[in-house]
Amino acid sequence: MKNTGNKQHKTQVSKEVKSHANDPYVVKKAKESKATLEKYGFPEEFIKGKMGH
Amino acid sequence: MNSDKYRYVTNEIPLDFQFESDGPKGKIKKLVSYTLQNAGGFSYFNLAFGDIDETTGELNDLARSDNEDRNKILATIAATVIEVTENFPDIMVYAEGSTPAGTRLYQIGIAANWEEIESILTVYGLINGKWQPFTKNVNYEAFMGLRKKRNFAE
Repeated sequence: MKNTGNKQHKTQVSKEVKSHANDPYVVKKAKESKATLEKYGFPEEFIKGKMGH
Repeated sequence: MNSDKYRYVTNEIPLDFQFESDGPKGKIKKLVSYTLQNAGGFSYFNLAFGDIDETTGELNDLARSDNEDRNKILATIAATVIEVTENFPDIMVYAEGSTPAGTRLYQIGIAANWEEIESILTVYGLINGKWQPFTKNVNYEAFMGLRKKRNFAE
């Protein structure tokens, strides 16, 4: 058990939870999100003062 | 979150949150995964949610478990968003369902937990190619959230 912050309950940390970042479904979803955001951009309020291009 | 939700387990990073749906169809492994992405020079987390395939061990969204615990699952997903933005408060979180019905479920989840979410996050919805502040009962195409800044002087 490890507390990852000031939560209402302790979040359990386990080495058995692997990263799924490279799973095909996750990669596909990431690509779709990137396409959407490159087409429509981000909410202006969120990117004010941040560097982008 | 104040709503009934599942307790989840994460890893050291922590960007993957695993929990078990428990209902009439038994226990089903679910996972919310956040991957750091970049679009137009801006970083954000993409949220992916689904079942863990018992055969491959991979995340997919093909299963429709119908385990009669929809609201509990949505509250759990919302709790992971809050936790991720607590750990990474400057990074936006993007969420979109794999289908319009899936996106609609996110809409229901945000609306159902709105009182707590809006106290912590600023949420926008994408509609007709434009981002607008989240409002209940509007069918958005995607969602974007960012942790509100705390004013420590208060």
